[in-house]
Amino acid sequence: MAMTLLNTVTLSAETFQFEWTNIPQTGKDLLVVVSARLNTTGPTEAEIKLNGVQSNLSWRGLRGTGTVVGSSTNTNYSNMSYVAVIPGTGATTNTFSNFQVYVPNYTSSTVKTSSFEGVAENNASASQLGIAAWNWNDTSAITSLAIVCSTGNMVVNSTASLYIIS
Amino acid sequence: MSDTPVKVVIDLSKPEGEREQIIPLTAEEIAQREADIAQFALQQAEREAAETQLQANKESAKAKLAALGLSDEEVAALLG
Repeated sequence: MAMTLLNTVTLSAETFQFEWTNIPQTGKDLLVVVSARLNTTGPTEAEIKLNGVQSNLSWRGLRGTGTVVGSSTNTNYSNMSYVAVIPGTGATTNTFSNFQVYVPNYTSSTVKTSSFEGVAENNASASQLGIAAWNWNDTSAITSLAIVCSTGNMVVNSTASLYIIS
Repeated sequence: MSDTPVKVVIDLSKPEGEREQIIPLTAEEIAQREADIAQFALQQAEREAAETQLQANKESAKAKLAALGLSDEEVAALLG
């Protein structure tokens, strides 16, 4: 097994989305590692969009907020799939989220399943962490992958790396 | 300075140093983004309402079990 870094992007402009396109079909699995912060109060959720498609995603997640433990399920999610929570200006200065998304068998012609884990850092009780599994009911090989924040923009110096596992 | 939202696209088919582009959204993409934000808010509200209702149901169930004479430990054993 080998883990190869394809790309690391460090945002030089605020944006709600970054997307890798033309992902090489030479690997077995994909791993995305992100550190991000919002330019709005937040927190908000980060979502994933595959091949530019915003449908056929469903997920189930568990999260802790410092005061509450909750679970959520979304089937036939008509938007994108939840992969993390990103802190905003309401969180401790200069704290970022840390999350990773693992996508096995991204070149396969079967339905894709995946998992993520992450935390929205905050030096207070109202921090959030979560894990989730999601399903993309599509048999296309994944050639592009986007991370999108649900509201607001990710700030400059947010970073994201894409690895292939082969 | 433009307030047009942008997206960052990294084209992995290009050589390093030429991959990253910061692209202003088209009017169509801005409309889609606004629709996505609205839909996210709606779905988030639905999820939070469901979680709140679930928590209320759990508390109600615990109270009813306690009224039947179950101890806190017995209720916890049942509900996990």
